Amino acid sequence: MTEFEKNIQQVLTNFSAGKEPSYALKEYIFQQIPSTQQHVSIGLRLPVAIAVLLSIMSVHLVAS
Amino acid sequence: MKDTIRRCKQSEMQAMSELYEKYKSQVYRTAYLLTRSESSAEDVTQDTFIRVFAKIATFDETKSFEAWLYRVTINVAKNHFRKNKLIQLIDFAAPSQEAGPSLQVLQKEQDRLLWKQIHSLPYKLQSVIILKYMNECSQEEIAEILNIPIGTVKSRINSGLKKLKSKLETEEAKMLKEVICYD
Repeated sequence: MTEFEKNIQQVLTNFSAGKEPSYALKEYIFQQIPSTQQHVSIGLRLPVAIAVLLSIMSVHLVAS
Repeated sequence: MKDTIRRCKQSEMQAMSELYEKYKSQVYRTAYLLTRSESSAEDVTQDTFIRVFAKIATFDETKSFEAWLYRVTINVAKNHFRKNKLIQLIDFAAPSQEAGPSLQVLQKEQDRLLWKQIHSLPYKLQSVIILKYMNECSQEEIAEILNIPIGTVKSRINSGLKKLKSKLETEEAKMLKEVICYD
């Protein structure tokens, strides 16, 4: 690493030293998790539900 | 870590809490360096973790979790940066409060200049420089994080360093001239 690159590293380290997210942030994030996970589970379940519906419909079509 | 991720996939809150505690500082500091503001860094950290927890079921465990986390952070920060570009430009125009011809102030001023120049780089160069020199990612890791070829990583690092050097030389020459005139 050149002297200039070391300077860059030093400046980036100095300017971010001691920076931490606030305690309240975690609480806020975790309050929102149930709703975000619900979206994911709906997103995963929906294609499965469509596939089941299509297979039932195809069985009915073959039978008729 | 693999076990924690597996538990996160099963929506175990304790595992998510562990994951957050382990990576919150890295994500926050990266976000801070990319956005230059504590409140923006909080917003980016928040959106990053919400996105990570929402999408963790789709995470491929054969790949690096850290690379995936950094990719999400960089993308969230990029969107945030776009939204707040005007605010950042106004912020850059603000004059430095540390003026005066002493060596210590000169060093601080040089650091501030370098910091300012890093932020004046295009986002794609800035993110590579921060990943390499702050997060100490290898070129291979940066390629994986940004989903670009390793040759592009190398050229972005070289281009970023060249631009920084040239901008800094111009700025330093101006600054020295001012100090000499002041003395």
